[in-house]
Amino acid sequence: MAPSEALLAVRDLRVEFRTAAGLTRAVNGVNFTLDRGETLAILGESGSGKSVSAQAIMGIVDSPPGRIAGGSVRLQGEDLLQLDAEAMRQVRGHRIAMIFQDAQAALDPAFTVGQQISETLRSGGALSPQEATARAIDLLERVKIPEARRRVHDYPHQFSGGMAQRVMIALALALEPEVLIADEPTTALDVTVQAQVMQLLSELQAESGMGLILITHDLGVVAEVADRVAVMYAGKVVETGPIAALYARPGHPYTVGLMDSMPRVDRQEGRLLAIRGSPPNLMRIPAGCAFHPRCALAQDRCSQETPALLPLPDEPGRHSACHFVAEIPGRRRSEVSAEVAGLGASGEEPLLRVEGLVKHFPLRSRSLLRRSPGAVRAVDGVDFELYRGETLGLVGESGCGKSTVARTLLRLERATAGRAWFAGEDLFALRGEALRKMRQHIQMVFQDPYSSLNPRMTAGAIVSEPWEVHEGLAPREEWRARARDLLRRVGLDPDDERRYPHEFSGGQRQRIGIARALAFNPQLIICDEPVSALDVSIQAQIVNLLQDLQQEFGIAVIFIAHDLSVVRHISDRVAVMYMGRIVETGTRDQIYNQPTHPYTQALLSAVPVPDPESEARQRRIILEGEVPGALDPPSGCRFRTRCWKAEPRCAQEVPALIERFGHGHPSACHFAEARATVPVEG
Amino acid sequence: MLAYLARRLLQSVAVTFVVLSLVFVAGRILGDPVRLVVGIEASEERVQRVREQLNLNQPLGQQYANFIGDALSLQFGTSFWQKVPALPRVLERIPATLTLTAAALALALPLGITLGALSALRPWSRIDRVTNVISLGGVSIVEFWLALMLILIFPVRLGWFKTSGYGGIEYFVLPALTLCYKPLGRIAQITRSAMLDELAKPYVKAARARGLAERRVVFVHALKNAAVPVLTISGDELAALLNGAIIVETVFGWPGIGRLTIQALERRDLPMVEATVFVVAIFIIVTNLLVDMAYTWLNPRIRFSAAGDA
Repeated sequence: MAPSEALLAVRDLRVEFRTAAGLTRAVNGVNFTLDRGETLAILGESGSGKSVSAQAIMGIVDSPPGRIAGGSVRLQGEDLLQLDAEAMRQVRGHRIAMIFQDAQAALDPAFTVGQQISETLRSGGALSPQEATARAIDLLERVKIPEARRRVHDYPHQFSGGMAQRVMIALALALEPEVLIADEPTTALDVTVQAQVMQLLSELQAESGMGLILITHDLGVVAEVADRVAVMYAGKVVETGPIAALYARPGHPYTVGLMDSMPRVDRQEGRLLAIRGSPPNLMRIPAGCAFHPRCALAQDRCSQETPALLPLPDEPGRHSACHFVAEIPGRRRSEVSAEVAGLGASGEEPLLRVEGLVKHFPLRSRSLLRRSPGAVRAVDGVDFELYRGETLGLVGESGCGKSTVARTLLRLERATAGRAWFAGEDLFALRGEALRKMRQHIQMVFQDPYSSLNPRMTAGAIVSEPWEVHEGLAPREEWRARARDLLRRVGLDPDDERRYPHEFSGGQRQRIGIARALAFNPQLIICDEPVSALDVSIQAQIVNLLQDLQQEFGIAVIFIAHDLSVVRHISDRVAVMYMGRIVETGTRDQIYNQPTHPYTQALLSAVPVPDPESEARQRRIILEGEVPGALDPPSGCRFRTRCWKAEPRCAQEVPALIERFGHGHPSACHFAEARATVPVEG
Repeated sequence: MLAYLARRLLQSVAVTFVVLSLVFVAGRILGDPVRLVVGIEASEERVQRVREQLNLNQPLGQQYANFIGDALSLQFGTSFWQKVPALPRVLERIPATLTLTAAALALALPLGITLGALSALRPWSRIDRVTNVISLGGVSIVEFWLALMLILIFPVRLGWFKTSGYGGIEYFVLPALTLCYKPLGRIAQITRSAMLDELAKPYVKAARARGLAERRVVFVHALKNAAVPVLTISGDELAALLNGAIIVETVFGWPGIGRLTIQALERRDLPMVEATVFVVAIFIIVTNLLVDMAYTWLNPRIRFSAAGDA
């Protein structure tokens, strides 16, 4: 191999999908190289063509409808696109391996993980079944799966998400590939588990010296591990370069926009700077520079002439595809910290008060004769207050009970125990007409904007439905005008009232969901992961919208999310949940700058920060293991099994959620102490 | 695992009990069984005598207890029509029906799965369209009509095979063909859609990305997962085959349970009807049990959730 030759070189790769609806150009001339031992991050939003590029390199694009329309993929000089099917099969797994976003789904549920690893090993060469099993155990140990000898006989569904991704990594490493492509490997995982998996990947790469292509939409993850970045937009690489320089001085307006759209756990900002519009439909990619309709710098030339990916002057190793690259520096928003939104004035009655909320889901025994085997303790004693016009961020990893709290407050689930007062009324005692009346004051915005809108109703009908259900909210003759007004307020075209949900993008649908919630004139909106299904640039638009509407209407918001960066951005106060209990609450600044509970500290330190030079990485706390089952939670403090501070007392005594550090910042840890885990800026 | 099977067995016993009760009720609400035996013109005195003979003068509760007790000791009484114990008569018809249904399924399963899998691999190709026509025919054509058409074409026109009767292969081909067509169509349809679902799943792409041979990806990984719904409907189809057998056996004069059921019904032979329903119910229950056992092999999630709460 010539010294100048890269391990993997992709030149002008093009992939099309021919469907009944038309021709989709998913990949439109992608260029990048990867060296031995290097980590290249391919960064882009959904539909940017990053996953399709990876599949084209692997030769696993579904065909039909997919077709590689041109370009070359050279692995040590050999063009993979010219290989016949059998020769390409021998490249897959052996020389280039791949791991996927949802590891559970990427493993065959009908075979044990050992069978799947052995099968892969044996496809690589003559190996007896015993040898293959022994190697499989080695591999599982290498990816740090405890009790590998026993677990090799387990089926995929018996592994947690994080462990399944480790199995997937073991499978990918089985044949010692030269290149590993990781397609959103941690997107489906909780943040503390994500940190474990990324660390494992880095270690394994350092050991083996393989080249790693990391496909992700998460700028934080990229900053943590990548050496170089390729930013993709509408099927093209718009910018590449070494990570530090690219993050410090983004060289393409889209990269600038992405950086500004992303809420950061280490900063607090007034408004997120959203990129206007949404990513293009790949059947109708704008002419010229595909980004020009969304770009602040765009001029006539941008809509006519496609910019080439050219080296940046004075910036070694960097390329950008923008006609006006010279004008970008200084365009980034000055990073000033915004004023903190005012808390509920002291002495005011809280709008919502929750005391000792408990929700257990009893497990049904399959046998008539046997007693119920127990209950899943989804929520186990939660107290909090919420004031008018305030936003409470409820954060925690999946399964911590945050959504159950919401469902119980909406009376969609019956609370097992506990009480709640809403505007002075006992929420759980309401029946019949009183309950119906109350429901109009508490509204919900759902996570999935695709399934929470009736596909057979127009946007106008969806937004006016509340008025039909609750008489007296609005006179019928005003419905249409009001619906149009609401659509306008959430940033849609009033004429969209005649369109059906499938005609809108995910972000637009979420806007309709918000408009529907507003139609009730609610006093409280509960948002359950309202932006987690959306792309980063769209997330920012929705978060900004929620913030504006809240200020305009003075609505209280409970914002449920697993994404600590978004929560930091929008919340006045934050409550951190772990296994059905709140472990710490406080103002946003208290929680983010002075977290006192070990879990909060670990959670915050695990969030990737989109800044390659951040010192946060050196102080990272990586937790052991995953969240225990809610069926049989640990005694005493539930976090003790993963806590580095745990002492015998923690197993015996449940730590109360009490003030340990000044006013308004209770923490449920016997050994609470303030510790800044995230560097504080602004 | 064992506990799971034990529980399924217990459930089967319960289902058998329910079926028996339904048979009892049906036999008594469809008119006076005594009148059915002796005819409408018989004298009142004769009716009384027969009623006593058949123990039908006892209170309903007593009759029910007797019936269940007898059924549990496999006594269904004497056939009104043939004047011999009913159950042995039914049992001796089983081999004929079983041969027919086994042959039908043995044809339908491999053929249906192959056609379905091939068309899933190449959707909208020629083979897919041919399969589509075949399976659509299978699920829509009435067996009664198909049987007559086959008779018209083969024995009548071409002089191949026999129109009816029981004996060698020449009697056997046409009823087996008729009977297999419907399950063949259903199995091909379900296999196609199950395979299409499985082939679109991420694990198939991941298996390809590991460099596994395409044969292995399709016929080991995807097919094993697709087998779950195929198995489900194969169990249903086996039950439906017994339905089909009633018509096919009647048309072809095949001496199986189906034909016997029709004859017993025509003659209002209550004990015989009860015995046939009982035997068929047991047959279906056993089939379902076997299907459930096969599930646990195909789908480890069932196996473990079953073991988990045991």
